[in-house]
Amino acid sequence: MEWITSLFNGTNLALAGAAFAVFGAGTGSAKGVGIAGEAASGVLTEDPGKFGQTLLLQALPGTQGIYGLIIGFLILIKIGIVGGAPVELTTVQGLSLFVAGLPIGVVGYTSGIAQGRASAACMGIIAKRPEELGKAMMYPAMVETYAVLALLASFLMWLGIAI
Amino acid sequence: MRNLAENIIKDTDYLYASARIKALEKNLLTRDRMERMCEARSMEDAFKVLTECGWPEITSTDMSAVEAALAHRRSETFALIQSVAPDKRIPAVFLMKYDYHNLKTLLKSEVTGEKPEPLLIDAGRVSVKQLLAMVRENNFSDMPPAMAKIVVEGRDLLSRTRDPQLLDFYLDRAQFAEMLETAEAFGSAFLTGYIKLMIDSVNLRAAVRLRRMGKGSETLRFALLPGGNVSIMNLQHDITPDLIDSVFANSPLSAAASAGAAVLRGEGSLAAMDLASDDALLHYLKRAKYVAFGAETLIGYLAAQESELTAVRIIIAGRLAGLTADMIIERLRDAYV
Repeated sequence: MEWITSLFNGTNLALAGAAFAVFGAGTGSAKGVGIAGEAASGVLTEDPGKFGQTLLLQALPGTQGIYGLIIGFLILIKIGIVGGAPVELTTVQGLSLFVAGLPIGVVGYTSGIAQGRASAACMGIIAKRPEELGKAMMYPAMVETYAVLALLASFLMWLGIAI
Repeated sequence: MRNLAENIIKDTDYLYASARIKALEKNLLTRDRMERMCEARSMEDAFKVLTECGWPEITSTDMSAVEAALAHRRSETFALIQSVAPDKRIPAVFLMKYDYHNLKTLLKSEVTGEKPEPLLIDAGRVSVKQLLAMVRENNFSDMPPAMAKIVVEGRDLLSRTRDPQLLDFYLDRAQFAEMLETAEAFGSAFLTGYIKLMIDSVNLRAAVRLRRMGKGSETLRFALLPGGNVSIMNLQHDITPDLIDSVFANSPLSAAASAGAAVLRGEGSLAAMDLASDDALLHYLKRAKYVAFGAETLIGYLAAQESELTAVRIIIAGRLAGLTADMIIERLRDAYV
């Protein structure tokens, strides 16, 4: 029975929320950057002069991981894990913070992969028309909108939760 | 479930390969470059266009030097695709025709007594050296199983009939059957569709040519290949221009079929039909250009390279034969890029 009590412990729920935000968004970014990196390697094998352009495209899906980390940190600050003064949370407070981590955790994961695929597809543009880098970056950059919206949703939830 | 899982092609497995191929696609001959080669003042200037596209320098205007450059380009392409393709069945499908060509040449040479070496193309899955040894020793254990199966039957057919054309039909049938089977096992609808369209194209050309030569329905039945999109049952009757038109009416080969029907009416040329047929195949392949990453990119590039080799051969041979630029351009197929 002790594990059930522990499961519904407010602090543990908040920690799970922070972990989910970092894990989901970080995994999405890792996969996205990996996908774009594989395509970038293909272009670079034939044309090493395109390192700069391909690196820019590869870096785009990396932001989701940062957003996840920001939300994770904010949750940890709110519950006092960062700062050295842990706060005793109720189950409802812990659950609220867990839910606050969901938007960036879930959308960070899916958008990271989607952005990686869009970046990889745009490597084909760079391979043939490097002068079109600006246009090529726009397509994966559009995916970023939804990661930012999820970050905003997570942040507003975090902001509204009173401890 | 396991078989189904094995047949699922993940496009993300082709990220590196596709991006590398996209980077190389810009070196393919465009229509503009081909026309520049035709219109160049000298053969050296024509070769310069090839050098700009990453071809090795061709130092002699002799056709054998050009053939050596073509062979070099072909082996480079296949070596690249072999090294980057996550599934080796992609290059294998394109290599099969060289194996079957070599096999035809070797079996025919057994009957005619002529030396086969000058006609052999060392580009297939089985090297010419290995193939010569296999046929000499009558040991086909190291040969791809589908090929090994038909060697004995092909040899028997030739010794009975003494008709090299029948052997050609027989081995063509085996070649396309293996290509189709490999493409279907690989699981790419794009590759399977390409092979099926190739089969339709071969059937159209065979039907028109054989009808023109006055061959009967028995020869047609032997020559027509099964497995295409167009049912060969419709082509086994008495072939008329209207029949050719109607059978291929809904196929991408409809323009080629119209050209074929014109040949049978005594109005057109076989070259025009072949050109329209090749253009239809290339039009199908061009879909691969719009796939960001996946097996399609590799398939499209391999076929585009083969088409490019044909184009270079047409241009150089045409120039050496003294044809005008316009006459050569008229014979050129569409370009992939």
